[in-house]
Amino acid sequence: MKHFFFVITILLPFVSLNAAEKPTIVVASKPFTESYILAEILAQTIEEAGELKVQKRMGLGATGIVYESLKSGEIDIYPEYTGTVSEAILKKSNLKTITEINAALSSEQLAMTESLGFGNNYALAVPNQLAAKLNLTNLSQLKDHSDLRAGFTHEFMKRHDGYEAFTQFYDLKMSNVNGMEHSLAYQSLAEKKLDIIEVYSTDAKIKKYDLLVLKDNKNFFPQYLAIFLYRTKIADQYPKTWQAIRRLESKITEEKMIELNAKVEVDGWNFQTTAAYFLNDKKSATNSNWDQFYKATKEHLFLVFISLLIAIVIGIPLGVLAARFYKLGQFILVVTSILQTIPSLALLCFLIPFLGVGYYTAVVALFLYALLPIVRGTYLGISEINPRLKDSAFLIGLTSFQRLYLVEIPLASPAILSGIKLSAVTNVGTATLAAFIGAGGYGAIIVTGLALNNTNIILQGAVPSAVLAILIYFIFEGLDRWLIPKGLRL
Amino acid sequence: MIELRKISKTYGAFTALKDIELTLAEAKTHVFLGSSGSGKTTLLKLMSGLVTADQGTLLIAGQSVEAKNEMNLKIGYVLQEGGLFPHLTCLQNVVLPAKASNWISLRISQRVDELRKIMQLDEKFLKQYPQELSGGQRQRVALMRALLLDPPILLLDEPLGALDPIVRADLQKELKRVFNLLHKTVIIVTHDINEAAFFGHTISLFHQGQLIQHGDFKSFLKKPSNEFVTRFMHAQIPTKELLENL
Repeated sequence: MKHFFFVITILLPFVSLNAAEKPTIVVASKPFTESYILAEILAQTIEEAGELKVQKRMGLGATGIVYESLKSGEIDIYPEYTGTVSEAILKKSNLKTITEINAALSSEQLAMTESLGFGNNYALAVPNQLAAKLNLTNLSQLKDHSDLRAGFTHEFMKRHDGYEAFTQFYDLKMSNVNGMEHSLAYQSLAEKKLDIIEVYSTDAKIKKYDLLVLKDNKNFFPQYLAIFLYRTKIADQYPKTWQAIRRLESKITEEKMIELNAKVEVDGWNFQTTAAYFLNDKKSATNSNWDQFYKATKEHLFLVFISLLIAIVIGIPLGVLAARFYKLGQFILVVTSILQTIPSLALLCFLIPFLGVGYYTAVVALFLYALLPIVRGTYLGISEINPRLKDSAFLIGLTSFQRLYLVEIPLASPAILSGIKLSAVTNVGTATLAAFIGAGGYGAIIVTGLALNNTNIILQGAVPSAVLAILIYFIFEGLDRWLIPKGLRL
Repeated sequence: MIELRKISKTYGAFTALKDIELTLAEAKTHVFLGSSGSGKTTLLKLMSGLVTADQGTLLIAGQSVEAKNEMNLKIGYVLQEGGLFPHLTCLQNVVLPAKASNWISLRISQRVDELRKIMQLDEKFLKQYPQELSGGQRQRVALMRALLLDPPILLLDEPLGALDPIVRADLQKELKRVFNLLHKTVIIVTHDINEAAFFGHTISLFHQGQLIQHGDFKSFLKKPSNEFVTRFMHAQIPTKELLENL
């Protein structure tokens, strides 16, 4: 028992978090290469201005998550595209210009900058060789080649500004269309199993696979101009920073963006270096892989252990209550079981409206997941104690509390510890998903790897996570020897 | 003196005890006899506070027993197979009641030594865990724990039930010696007539929740109150040796 409190006392100092001296600005990105690079350029620009401390929340899950976070003030600024703002966020496709969209955003105290200088539009591309052979240059000409084998993303097939609208607008038919993953489409094109695929106009792979982007000669595809979406208070409160951000407007051409994307995806540069290369700033290009790994490990351990600690502190008393009061016990077990059935990503999304994105939300979600095994372990451990021993504790004259900590908890300790062990090991895995809401950890590496479709990087996150899970398992096996009374191990 | 007045207890439709009237003298050994389900263990649990009666009163030394929290000072209890905690050493088990009553450690160690001499238990056994001891040694430890706070009353629920015959016979003698030495009011629950005859100054025979006959062993043999008593007594004929000892 006293060991138990000892462990908790040792872990407590890790709970405290450092406070910042300078005011902090939170820069975020979505989980794909271009967004990472633009956010990194933005972060380095703001740091250079010297007015604010930058906190990064890179690779946030999806448009909905990032937008909610921005509205709630969890993040302050992130790279976005005009088309996404009007179509996916405001759901008003009639808004075309930046001025129109900004008018609609003003009620939320949000705004966008002017275009950064390029658009990342939907476009269709064919291999240069094929284009030359068929004499293809623009989309209208597809009318004469309805037999081309096409590979489009499921999103493009479904969007109301996607495939259906496109074929109607250009009045053409395509007889051989396949829905597939984006990265797979490139692969199939390279293997000559497809002739035409949908691309984003700044995609690094356009260069890599030697593709020709067909001209949207009738202007069907909406403009997806790159901008920064921000909380208006930044512009009001930090003029110096704001001036620095504005200086990025119109500075990035489409060719430059393709080059930067290729630096990362083809040449294997990291985002910081790529951003620094763009900004011609050599001093920040020093973030080594080891630094990144160390940071991710620290974040991951914090996520796992702090959520586990809270789950222990709350879960054990809940388990005790459940064992002592039958009806309350059934209620507690049902509620914690239901929590367990919510898919992890869904739970994270549920929590965002209440807690925003980032570290604390991830800790709360992991805590909720860790709860059931601990509550259940405690409940089973205590309710399965031999009734004769429970009688014995009463007959000796122990008070209710003495019975609990002198007899019931020690006797239930193997079951309680196995619950804690299970929670800890599962938490290591679940914590990787925390990256989707910007809580960092090994998940951030995995998300980057997924965004880059780079198995190497995915493994750099996945392998340490698996190793950590195994390590934690053995550490807890060791703790068993220390925490379970010797008499129960005979 | 322990007085039971019109004690009744039911569990749902099952009548565990019905209108029990019984007076048990101080410093004597009393045996509750009966087959399983007869109500003898329920009555013991009732006297210890583990179970409360639906009706009737229980008086110990003329006082009604309501406050369960003082019960442990008046009553020591030994369960079948001891009820010793496996996560504690025998010594830790024995001193647990004193911890609950905030005794100082000197007083505890003096009392443990005293009881160890009475029980004739080697010191090395106290350092071991209950699972490491034989059944007989375990029961000695359990009795030490029950006696630690020096309660005037000692309740034993089938204390020798799980032991093999030789150990059982040795421990019977041992217990009788200790009871005589300590002058406690002892109540032993058993289904064994030989054991009842061996220990009991009085014997109370229970059947289906009712007290059938109460008295010394001779009265059971000479004046059985009904046919059931005769049948019960004849089911386990006492040995010659035992009869000569009476």
